[in-house]
Amino acid sequence: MRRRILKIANTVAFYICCLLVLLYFATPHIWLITSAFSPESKPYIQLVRPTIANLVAIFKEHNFVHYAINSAIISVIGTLITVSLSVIGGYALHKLEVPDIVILALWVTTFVPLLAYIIPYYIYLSALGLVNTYIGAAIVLSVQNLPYYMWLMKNFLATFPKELEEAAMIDGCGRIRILFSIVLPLSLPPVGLIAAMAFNGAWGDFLAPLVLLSDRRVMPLSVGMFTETIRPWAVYEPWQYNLLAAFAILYIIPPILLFTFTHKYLRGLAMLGAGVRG
Amino acid sequence: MRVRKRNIVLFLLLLIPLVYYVLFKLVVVPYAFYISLTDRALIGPKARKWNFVGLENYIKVAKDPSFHSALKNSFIYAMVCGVLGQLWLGLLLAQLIWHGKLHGKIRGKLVAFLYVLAVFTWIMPETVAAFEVRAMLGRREGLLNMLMRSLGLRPIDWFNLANTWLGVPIMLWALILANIWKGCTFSMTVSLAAMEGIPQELYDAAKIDGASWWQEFFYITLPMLKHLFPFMILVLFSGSFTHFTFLWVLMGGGAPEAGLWREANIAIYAYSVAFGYYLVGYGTAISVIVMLVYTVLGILVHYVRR
Repeated sequence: MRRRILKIANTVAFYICCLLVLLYFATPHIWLITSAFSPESKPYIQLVRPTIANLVAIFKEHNFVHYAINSAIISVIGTLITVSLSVIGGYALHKLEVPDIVILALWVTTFVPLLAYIIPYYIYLSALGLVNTYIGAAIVLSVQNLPYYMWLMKNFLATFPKELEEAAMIDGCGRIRILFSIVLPLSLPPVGLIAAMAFNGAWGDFLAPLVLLSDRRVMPLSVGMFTETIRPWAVYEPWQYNLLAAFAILYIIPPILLFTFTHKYLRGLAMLGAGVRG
Repeated sequence: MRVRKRNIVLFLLLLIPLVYYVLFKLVVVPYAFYISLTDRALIGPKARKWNFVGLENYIKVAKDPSFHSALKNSFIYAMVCGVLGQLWLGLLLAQLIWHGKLHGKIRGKLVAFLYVLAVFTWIMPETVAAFEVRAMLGRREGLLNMLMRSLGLRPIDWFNLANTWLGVPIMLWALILANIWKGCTFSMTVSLAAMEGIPQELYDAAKIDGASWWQEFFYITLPMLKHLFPFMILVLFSGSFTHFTFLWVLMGGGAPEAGLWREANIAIYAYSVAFGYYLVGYGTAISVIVMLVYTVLGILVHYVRR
């Protein structure tokens, strides 16, 4: 009897905990979705009179497409640089015996966040003429975690059967040929994963565009959605919540899509030390 | 001869990313040291012609009360978020999910949904997450204050720095609560991955004995995952120590002067000194200190990871 009561108590405790977690995690997201369709800018959940006026407004009055294109250009260029450099770098790291001190230096410098050096970086990049250009932002976003991606690629290649490469070498293939016609086609999953992570990182980044892309012509969504909707002169409440929410729900579509395609690999990645910027 | 040639090709393949990395990232480190020794400004006459001032900036940092409180707040934020909040909530979540998976179909479905929700919160851009939290904390009509009112409590003005709790502005506690929500999924995913390596017989035996999920947590999961704690704590600490985007958007977004708390965090302080007051030399001196902190953390993580 006592055991039975305990069991019921356990079950109840389990469901209560689940409910609490659910509320803690879901409430802000529910608010975001309802707010995007709400006619008024309110920080609470309201379900009356849903409207698509906000979505129409951000397309018509707030240049959503312009910012989205900027975001896409920066993220795609950054991802291309990251992927191509991490593939060749990871392959070379895998084949060459690199001294431990180099690995340590790469790891430690990758660990230093962009924020820690953004001030001198800004001066340096403006001397190179890269401020307010797409390519400058793409460079900043791709260089930050490059050694990490190279190392990810190297770890994958360590699981690669050696015989394939040896056979190709006997047939007279050079290193570059082996890389592009044997290694690369067989390592599409990790390359895809690196691409997804690099794209997600670039798409969601705020600091680099805030500092480097202050011109509205090149400004991406992450900064643009705030400059478009926040009214600094409105003293009491400068935030237009419903317009911003409309921006936000469109802005998070690419990360959600990427997540649905790559979530299978997330756990293994976390073990490897991903999400260092958590 | 042929072997040598191949090695040169490999060496070149390695050199391309390395040169790129050095040219666009590492070069900044000595440059930062140099700028931190000058009184350079972002605009005005000091932007074109600056003087070498030696260690003056560092002495100024050591005496700056704003820097001290920013450092203190950063430390509290990172400790409470990372070490107390994200680590333990993540572990508990992992346990909840693991338990649910082993106990029936309905619970399995429920925890699968929780998992997706937690990971979604983690991968979504920090700007959007911060904006959501901003609404939750709204002064009069925010959900949190509405909840407090319905419980019969006095609503709190989160953004008023004069309100303190335990000697720290209540704003900081709100930011901590928000960051635990955003970041606890890291320790959850790491724990879940590690729990797959725990012998399943332990959980099966616990199930037969009718153990509850929190008993499983204290007697199986926790002892088996202890070795991961140093790694997780270091990563979580360094993730929160200079949290910029999240706090910046939460406190002001596009209108930084409206409600920005400059001393909330060492990163925000350095940024507002350099880009708000145009004191680049001084801001860079703070950056150099942050870089040193992260170098130490990075070395520690490198050794703990094995």
